[in-house]
Order: sequence, then C-alpha cells, then structure tokens
Amino acid sequence: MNRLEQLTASLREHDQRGVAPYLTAGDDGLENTLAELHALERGGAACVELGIPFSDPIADGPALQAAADRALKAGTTLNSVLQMIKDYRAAGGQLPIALMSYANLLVRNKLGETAMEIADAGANALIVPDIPIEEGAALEQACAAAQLCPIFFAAPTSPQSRVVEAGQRSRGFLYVVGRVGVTGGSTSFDEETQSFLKQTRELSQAPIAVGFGIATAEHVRAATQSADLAIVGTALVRHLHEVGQAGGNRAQAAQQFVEDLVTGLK
Amino acid sequence: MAKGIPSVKVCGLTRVEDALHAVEHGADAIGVVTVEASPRCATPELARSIFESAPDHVWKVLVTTDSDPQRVAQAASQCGATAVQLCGNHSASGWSDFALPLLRRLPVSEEAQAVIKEWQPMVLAFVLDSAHTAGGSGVTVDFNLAAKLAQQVPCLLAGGLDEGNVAAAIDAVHPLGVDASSRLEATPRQKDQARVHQFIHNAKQQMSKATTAQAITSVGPYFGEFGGCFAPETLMASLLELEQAWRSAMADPGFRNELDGYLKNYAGRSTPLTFAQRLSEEIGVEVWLKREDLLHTGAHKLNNALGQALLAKRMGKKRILAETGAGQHGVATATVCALLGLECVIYMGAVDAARQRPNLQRMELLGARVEVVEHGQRTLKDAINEAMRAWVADPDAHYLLGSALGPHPFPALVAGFQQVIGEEAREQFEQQAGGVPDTVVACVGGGSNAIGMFRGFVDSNGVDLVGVEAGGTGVKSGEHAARFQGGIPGVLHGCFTWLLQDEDGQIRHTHSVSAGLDYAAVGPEHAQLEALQRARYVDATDDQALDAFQRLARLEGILPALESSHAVGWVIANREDLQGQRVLVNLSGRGDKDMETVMGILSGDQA
Repeated sequence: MNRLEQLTASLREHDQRGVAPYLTAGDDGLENTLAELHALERGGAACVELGIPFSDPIADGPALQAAADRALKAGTTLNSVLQMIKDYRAAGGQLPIALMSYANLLVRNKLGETAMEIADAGANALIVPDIPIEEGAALEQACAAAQLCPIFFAAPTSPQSRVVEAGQRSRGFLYVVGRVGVTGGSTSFDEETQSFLKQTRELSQAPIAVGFGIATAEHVRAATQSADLAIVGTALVRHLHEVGQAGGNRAQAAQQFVEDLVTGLK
Repeated sequence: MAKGIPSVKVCGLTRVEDALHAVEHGADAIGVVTVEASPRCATPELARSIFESAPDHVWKVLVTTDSDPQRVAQAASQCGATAVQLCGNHSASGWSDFALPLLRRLPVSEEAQAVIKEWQPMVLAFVLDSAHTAGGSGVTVDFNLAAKLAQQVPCLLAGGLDEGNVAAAIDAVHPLGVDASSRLEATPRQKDQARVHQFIHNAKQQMSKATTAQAITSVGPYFGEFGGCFAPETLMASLLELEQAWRSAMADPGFRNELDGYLKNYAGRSTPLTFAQRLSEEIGVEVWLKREDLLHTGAHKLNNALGQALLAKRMGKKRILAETGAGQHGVATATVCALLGLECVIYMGAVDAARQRPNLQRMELLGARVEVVEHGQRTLKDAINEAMRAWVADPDAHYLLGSALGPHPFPALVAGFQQVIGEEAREQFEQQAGGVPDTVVACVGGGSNAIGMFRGFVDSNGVDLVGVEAGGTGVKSGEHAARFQGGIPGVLHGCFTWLLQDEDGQIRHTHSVSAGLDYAAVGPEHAQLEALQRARYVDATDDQALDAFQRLARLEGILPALESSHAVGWVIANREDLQGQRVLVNLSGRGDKDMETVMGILSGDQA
C-alpha cells in the first residue's frame, strides 16, 4: 500500500474524514506551489490533488482554466512539476499526492514510463479526467507497475453498474463528481446529492472523495457525511490567486484556508 | 510462440518438403492428421519431423478424433504440436483444462449451435467444415450459414477450399482464417506446390482487403489504434445512450427513409457532379467537382446535421448544442433546429466569429443563440472545448458534433451520415465519365467531408485517395494545421489521433486562412487510413487556396469555400504529376462566407 492507500484505509478504519485541497501546479510559479504544499500540510490537509496544467482542460471551468494558463505561461511542464514534488519530499513533505492530468500529457511519452517517473518523484496516484473505465486498462497497468493508485470517476449521471466498476478499479479512492458540470460551480448539498453520495459510498469498494463545488467548512461538513475525503479546488485556487494579486503571502493564505476547512470535519 | 489466431492454415501434410514450402510462402499454421481412417494420416514420428521443420512463429496443429484428453496431450507433446484440432464427435467433458490451444471442428449445419454451446468456453476458435465428414473431404460448406456462425464465434473456414475459390469464400463468410487440405494435392499425400503457393497468396490478399474495408467502415470505438472514447465520466451515460440510439436507428428502415426524405426534399440531394471543363483545359488534368456547395445551407455539413437532429428527436432531446469553426456547421445545425423545432446553442471562437460574420448573422436569424468563445486561440478548438463543457453541465441536451472526430461514437456516426457523398459521387462518376476516377481529393479539417467522400472509393484499391490539410504559410513556417506533417499522435477532444502539440504535450497554436481547417487534430478514421497507407495526406498553403478560389470563380463561375479551395489548390499545384488523370474533387462548400477575408487579403489588408 502506498501513502494514499494507507491514508484512506486508515480513515475508513477509524471512521474519520479528511480534506483534500487541490492546487494547479505552477500557478504563480512552482516555487509558490512548493511552499503551498508545505503550508497545506501544516494546515491539516489529509492529502493533496495536484493538477498538471493543460492547454485544453475540457472538464474544468473558467477559474481552473485561467490557473492552467497562468501556470503554462510561467513555463510549467510535467517534468518541472515532478522535480518540485521531489523537492517537497526531500524537505520531509508527507502528504499523499494525487496527480491530476489530462490524458494527452501522459501518453505524450510512453504511459508506462511516465507513470514510473511520476512514482519515482514521490506522487502516489493518477487522476485522469478524460480516461473513463472504457479506456482505463492501460492506465491501470501502468499504475500497477509503478505502484501508483489509478483513480476513476463516478458522476450523478453514472448508472450504478459503472459506479461499482469504477469503485472496484480505483485504488486509494474513487473520485465522485458531486454535481453535473465542470469544476467551479456551486453544489448544493441537498437531499438528492446526499443520497447520491450515500449510495456511492455503499456501491464503491474504494473509499470515496467528493469534489466539484466544495468551498467552505460548511460544505466540507455536508460532503463528509458520506465521503471519506472532501476535495476543495476552485475556491482555494481563486483565493490564492487573489491573495497573490494583492501582494499577500499565498502560502500563509493556503494554511489558513485549510485550517478553516478542517473545522467542518465531524 | 504463435500468437492470435492462425490466418492461413495448410492441413493434411505428410511430407516435410510440403511443410517447408507452405511456410516459406507465408502459411502461419500447418496441420498434420493422426486419424487412422484418413488418407492423409501421419505417424507420430512423421508428425514430429514435419513440426520440427517449421519455425517457432508457425502454428503446429495436431488433428485428431481421439476423445481422451490425456492421450491427446501426450501425443501432442511427443510430436511437438503447439495446438490441437479436435474433429471427433465426442463431448467436451474433460477438455476444459487442456494445456494447448484447442481448435474444434464446427459442422456447418443445424448441429452447430449445440457444438458452440458445449465447446465455446474452451476453444481458441472453431473450424467451419462440411456437416458430414471429419475433414479433408473437399466438400464446400453452405456460405450463408457459415457467415452467420463466423459472426457469432471466432472461426477458421475449411471445406473444399483451393486457390480458385478462397477469395470468394472469404468475401462471403468473413472468417478469421482459412484452412485447406485435400484440394491442394497433386496426387494422394502430395501437395501441388504451385497451387499451395497461389492459395496462400490469394487468401492473404483477400484477408487483408477484408481487414482494410472493415477497419475503415468500423462502427468504432477504434479505427486500428486510433479513436476511442476519452471523455469525462459525466458524459459517458450520454455517449452510451447515443451509441445505442444510433445503432437502433441504423437498423430501422423507417429512420433511414425519414432521413432520405429530408435529404432529398429539403436539402436538395443528390448534389450534381460537374465536369470543370475550362479548369481542366487550363491545367491539363480532367477535374470533376462533387457539388456539395449546392446543398441547402451551402455545404456538406447539412448531411450530418439532419441525421443527428433526427436522431436527437428520436431520443426525445429538446435542446441541441454545437460548435462551429467556419460557421457552416453552425448554420446547418441552426437550420435543422428551426426545421424540427429544437432549441439551439452554437459555440464559436471570437476569431472565427469575426472572419465568418455572415454565418454568425445567419445563425442568429435562424433562431440560434451564438456563444462567442474568448478562451485560448479563439477558433474551432476552443469552440469544441466550450461546447463539451456545456454538455458536461447539460447532459440532457444533444451535442451535435460537426466533424468525424471526438469521443466514440461520433467519428463513426458522423462518417456514416456523410458517406452519402462518396456513394453518390461514385455512381455519378460511373454514369457521366465511366469507371472510377484515378484520384479523389478532399480537404481535411476534422475530416468529415473527406471521409464521406473516401468511403465511396476505399474498397477500390486503384483509386488514389488524397486528403489535403491546411498548409497555412508553409509547413516549415510552423503556421499551419497540417497534422500529418507536423503532428504526433495523442488525445484531444475524446479521441486518440494525430495532433499538433509541443514536446510537453500542450496543444499547439494552428493557422489557416480557412476557419474550417484551422484545427489541431484530425479525425481518427483518417489516421487509420494513413496508417494503412490507403490514403495519403498532403497540404496546400493559404496562397494556393486563394489562387484556386479565384481561378474557379473566373473559369467555372463557382465560388468555392476557402476550405474546399485547398483541395482544388492542391490539384492545381500538382498538375504536372496528375497529367492525363481523371481527378474527382469534393467541393465541400460555397465561398460566399469567405468574401470579406478574400477581398481583405487581395486588397492587401490581412483580414
């Protein structure tokens, strides 16, 4: 079991929940991202989802598209992100890291070799929003050889049979899209959403992480009624960008943001 | 080790020299019969020397009627067989753990289903043979029934095959492999080597033809290694629903009739085939134009828009989302939505909205809402991004994708609705010019007009299929959209195909004077045609397209779309190589929409 599997297994075992913040790697430069990873750890994050910027992120809303554009403008590449992760681990960073990347960046060179490099750098999982279970075999093979967790998705539109299969084939956690739409909208944790999450928890063999639209401690509280992990992406990315623009300290803001979010854990 | 399933098997061998000869000419399986009643029975020692003579990659198949798995395993191991073919009438009990791959004789008769049911879990493939013999009889099978069985389970075809009938048999049955024995003998127990050679040659040729045809008329998700369904999970339910609806519609003559009715009485099909006399005289190449520019709304796009909109209605959808580059697909979609009473939202890049302004205005007049996309390079790619995001947020809508690309089932579905172009053109060419053209040329953005045209000619190997990409200001300049020249395979917008991307995998900026070709990826079926070397992909520059635009206007009274001008431009630029040929060009759309761009450039003001 790698870091991420240990984390989620332990959360399940002790009936605990966690917050998983999302960062776009290289937004405002990778030095900032490195400092923010350490800050998130200090702030009480359970693990982190780290997005590799891509020119055409079809599952992301305007805020994360803009973050990816900024990161690309700053010269961020898959390789430079992997170097940054090495630096984080070398400095004692302990957070499990789930790398989020669109398929093209991973297949640009051989997927198997790329997965190996990602694991060597110290990341623990691969989240690929445009690889559904139909296309997942190569991802699973590459991840198995590199001891990375392949992570698949369940959405409110997924038939139950797909949720079951995605849960079986995911390691670490199953990524549950809390609502229909791209990243960055708001999710209302109404009865329908809660019953979808509850059902998904029952259907999925893997622990579940819910994302899309979680912005506050209140949302974290609602999401973790059923989910093992609450992923907070757009709200954090937007906040850090605003802080950076205003000349503030992004890392400090990241820590405070997570400290607030974890108060929502039961 | 031999892999997959044998494609050409020569059976009933009794001489080492016959085996060597068959292998040398490309047989990938050889069979030795150890059934005492057979005229071609070989001793275990003979079987061993035959199998030992063949290299590792060849299947060495021991043919037996013995019902005892232990005994057969021992015999196989003694003679070095790598597979066993069972021809007896015994039951399957005891065979499920057999160590070697099994082939099982399948009588082409009403008994077949019982045999399949009993044996399917444990065999690699079945060998279709005549109903009443144990093989090697020379009796041919009922091809109709054999074809059905070959569709149901993996099959090799046997029974009376020889060099004369094997091609027709493959064509009728579509087996994975063929198997011949007694008909290839010169005298008992001795093969006629010339006929064996011819048999293998004819079989291989026909099998590869069948594979090519299958690969390119594939219903997906894959065309060779290209295509697939790389879509976010939120869309998967919609894509699966679409695939199912499409398959059911295709199997429903009522749907086809309804679509044909609209194509004829609303859209104006068939479109004419025009001989471009003055252009032909000027360049010394006989040029024929398939006039999709005369289709209602002025381009081939309406074929697909009508098909998909009817499909959407059949699925109970009320709202249509679509992207557009040049605006032709947007106009076609807005048109069918008006016709069928569907709500319509079109996504269009801001750069394209400016250079194709008349089309933007047409869409709005037709009642569509046009969302102008300000992200990225603000052209077709970004319009597709935004339309896909909108669909992710609104999976109850139908996404009416305009080209033969995107996640499965779109590439196959769109090509299916466009192949009417090629089917019509082929028939018209035959009637007006006689025979088939030497070369068929079409411009390739995503590639829907080209694939529609190519599908009409792909099974005629003598016809050179040429796809023309946008060369922009020249491939060397980097300002172009020639994916096959400057690209690398990767994943964009749901499929694995040739892409313009940088060394980190980021999608590269593209350039073309024509909005419809200005796109970083090419449809996956084209990628496969290129891999099979069945079509070739070239480019024409902005200047060549502009030259063709003006020449066609002056010489033929036709204003072609700038996209289609690339196809004509390539022909003009390559007239030396095409001298004396009959060339069919798909004139995919009309050029009124491009007037502002062209006049701007001609007056020296780069629009």
